[in-house]
Amino acid sequence: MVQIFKDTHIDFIKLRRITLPAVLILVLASLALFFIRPHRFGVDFVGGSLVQVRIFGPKAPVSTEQMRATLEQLGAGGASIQKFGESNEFLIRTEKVQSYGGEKFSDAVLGALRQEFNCDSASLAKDPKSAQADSVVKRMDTTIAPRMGRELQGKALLAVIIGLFGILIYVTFRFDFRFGTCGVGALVCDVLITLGIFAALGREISIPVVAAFLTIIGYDINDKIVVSDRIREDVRKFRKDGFADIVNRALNETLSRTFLTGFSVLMVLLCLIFLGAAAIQDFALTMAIGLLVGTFSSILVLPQLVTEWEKRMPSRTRRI
Amino acid sequence: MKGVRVKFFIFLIVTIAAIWSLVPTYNLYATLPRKQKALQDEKAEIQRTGDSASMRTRMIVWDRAYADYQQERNKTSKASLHLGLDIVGGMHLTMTLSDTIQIARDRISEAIQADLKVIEGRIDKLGVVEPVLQAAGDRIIIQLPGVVDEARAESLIGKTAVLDFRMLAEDRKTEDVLNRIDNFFKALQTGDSASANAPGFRTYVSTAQGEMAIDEQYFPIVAGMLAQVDTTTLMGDYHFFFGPKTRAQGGDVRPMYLLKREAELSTADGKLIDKAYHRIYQGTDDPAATNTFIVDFTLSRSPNPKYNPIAKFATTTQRFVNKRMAIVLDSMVMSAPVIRSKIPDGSGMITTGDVSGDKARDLAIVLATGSMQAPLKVESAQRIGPSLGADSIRRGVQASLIGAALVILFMLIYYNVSGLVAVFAMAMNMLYLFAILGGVLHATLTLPGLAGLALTVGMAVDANVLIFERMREELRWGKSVRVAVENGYQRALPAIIDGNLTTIISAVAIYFMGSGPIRGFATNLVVGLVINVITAVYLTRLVYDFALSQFQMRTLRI
Repeated sequence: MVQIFKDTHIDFIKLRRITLPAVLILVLASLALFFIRPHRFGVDFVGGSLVQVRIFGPKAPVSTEQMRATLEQLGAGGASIQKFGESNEFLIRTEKVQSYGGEKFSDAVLGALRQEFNCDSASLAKDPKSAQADSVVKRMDTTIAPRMGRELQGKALLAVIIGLFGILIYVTFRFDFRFGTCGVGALVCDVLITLGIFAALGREISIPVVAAFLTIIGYDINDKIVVSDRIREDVRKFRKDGFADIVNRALNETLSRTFLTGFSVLMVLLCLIFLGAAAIQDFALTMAIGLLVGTFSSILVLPQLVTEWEKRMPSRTRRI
Repeated sequence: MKGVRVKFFIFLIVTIAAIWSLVPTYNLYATLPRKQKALQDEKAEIQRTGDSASMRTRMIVWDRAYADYQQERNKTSKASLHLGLDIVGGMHLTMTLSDTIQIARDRISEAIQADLKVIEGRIDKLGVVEPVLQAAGDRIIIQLPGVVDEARAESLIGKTAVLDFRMLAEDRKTEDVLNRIDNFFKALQTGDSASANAPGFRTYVSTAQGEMAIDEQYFPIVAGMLAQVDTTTLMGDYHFFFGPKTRAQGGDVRPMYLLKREAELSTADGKLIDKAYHRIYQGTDDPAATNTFIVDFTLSRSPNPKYNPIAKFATTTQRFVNKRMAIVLDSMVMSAPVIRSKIPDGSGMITTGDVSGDKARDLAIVLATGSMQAPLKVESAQRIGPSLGADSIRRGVQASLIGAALVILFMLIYYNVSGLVAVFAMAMNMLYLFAILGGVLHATLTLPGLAGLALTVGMAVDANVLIFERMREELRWGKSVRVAVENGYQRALPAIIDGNLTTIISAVAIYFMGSGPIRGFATNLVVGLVINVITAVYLTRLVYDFALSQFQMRTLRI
């Protein structure tokens, strides 16, 4: 029998003096970060134009600065430029939907890039193998009116809030109000911290990222329920022991499950991060961050919150 | 144990039904593309080898085979799982009411529905497989998966296609109107009437190929001038219309026509065109059109005596023999032929000047499918290149497969034979989920939808881990295998049910609040988790019960 955690006796509850203030600080830092450096929303949300190009040929590699200079000549200096790794692939985005000399943004950008980076006929004749006549290839091109964006934005947020409220009611009904409040509170903290880390990394919020957040919330809920379930069971089983001891026991009992499940999911996510395409990478990275934050909070924040509550307001009946 | 056998039998039937329901999906993505390629190869072969007579007969046979294929494909597609635009690439269009015409609020949804019908007909002709069309308030959302000629799709879908027939003004009348407008602008500049040398309206009007024409560079000026004048006093019952930009000796020009304000016949009054086909014109009546594509049309024969386009066309053409009549599409004069004789059968042709055939073909399509009740404009056009789609799907699938293989390996190492049971349960979970999505819901799989699948798999792993850890605890306390299995399931059940249910609750909230791609996430998650509870708990339990009833198990490999 392969086993990773054998009969552990870690005092998780004692750690609350460190973990609870730490979470508070992280949440505040995340909130502060939202104001200092607001999230960048993808075109799905703010609207705008986006074009992804790949540059081949002898003028490659092209640096972000060269790209910026070309775009400035076009009058699109404000566009954001993102380069994908070492491949000469660029994501160029503008939030302004305007016409550039009568052309759409993507056509204008493509035209300008072709003028700049297409190889001339001389080098084409010299080395026809490596040089392609058309060295700038459009990979993707998107235009979205911002009106749709605002609607999507509001809807996604409202969906999450209503979802959380539903969970609060369910957990209150199945466990008690204390677990419901602490669970949803920990969940909100997890999401905020994940958003904070996301903001610190300077990533952009797109539909796949929103999907990742929804996935994390789903996973996180399950994680917290599993831990709460064990505490509920042990409280019934070991009526004589102190609350903190019971919670500690429950956490140690579920530790191997917490690790195994988290590790399995993380393994898949790492595969997606290292092998997946750009859109999937964003998704997997967000999920991996959320997974780690959520898993730690399930054993380091939620039980400690519940214990704190019990200490201040002991429940006589212990109906949990 | 009889109960176990009955359960096993039910499970077997469900599994066979699931596989059965996925047959159309398999055909859509594996069998049919091969068929299509074979047909295309055959067509190329026919066109390459045959002489014209035998080629035509072979093409008729081929056309029938292709129609059969398309029918089969449409039928299969309706019963299949589809891939979203973000996966296969394609085009996402949002059309909204154009503000050129004000429509009463209570008539908007009616107009949108009518437009939707028209668009549906046009897309059908475009040959896109499994397009998705939705009316949403004052918008129409169109998804065209696969490789789409974007510019063509946009122009074909967006055309209002109001066709009308208007009589041209007599030369004398035209001269008169031109002079009046000319004088109006001269008077504006000089303050008193008619100073002969001031530049007026006529300065901009030249002649090209026997028509009035406006130099392309002056076109905005002329359009601006015409917008200023009081049309009723200066033009009377007539109005200026323009033709498409054409090349003339001095550069591009736009032909200009003075047409009757009231149309003789118009699609704005009801269905006008019955059939429309494009073909190469080889006649000599209109030398400019020889060897270019034209569109033949037949007016519709309406049973309604008050509105009968063919009869109206016959009387009009009889009345105006040897006069010129303009064929106007969306306020643009397509051609202005002379009526040579009465046309009793409602047939006619429109010259397009098109040499490649594409424009004429699309014109035939829009004429045959009718005009929109309310003009639409493109609000957003999202184009997702198939190259990125194909690339990202390939890499994504690869990465997921490697990830899944690692998880399976891990489960086998950690839980031994029991790990195999868990992997089996997960495989069944996926099979049933795909069967419901493909065979029952005919859903569209998007990237967020795949995220829902991923979470389902994660929860499936978790459910089995929960059960196995409990079993291990029981075994560690020295319980027998049978008791350990029994207690393991019983103790793990509340956590599994609560965990899955709360996640389902949040997914339901997301479904009702979210839109488009996010909804796919919620659907997949809800369906996946309901199945998960069944496969991870009851199906694995069935395996253990079966094993316990068949073998004397002293130890459990877990």
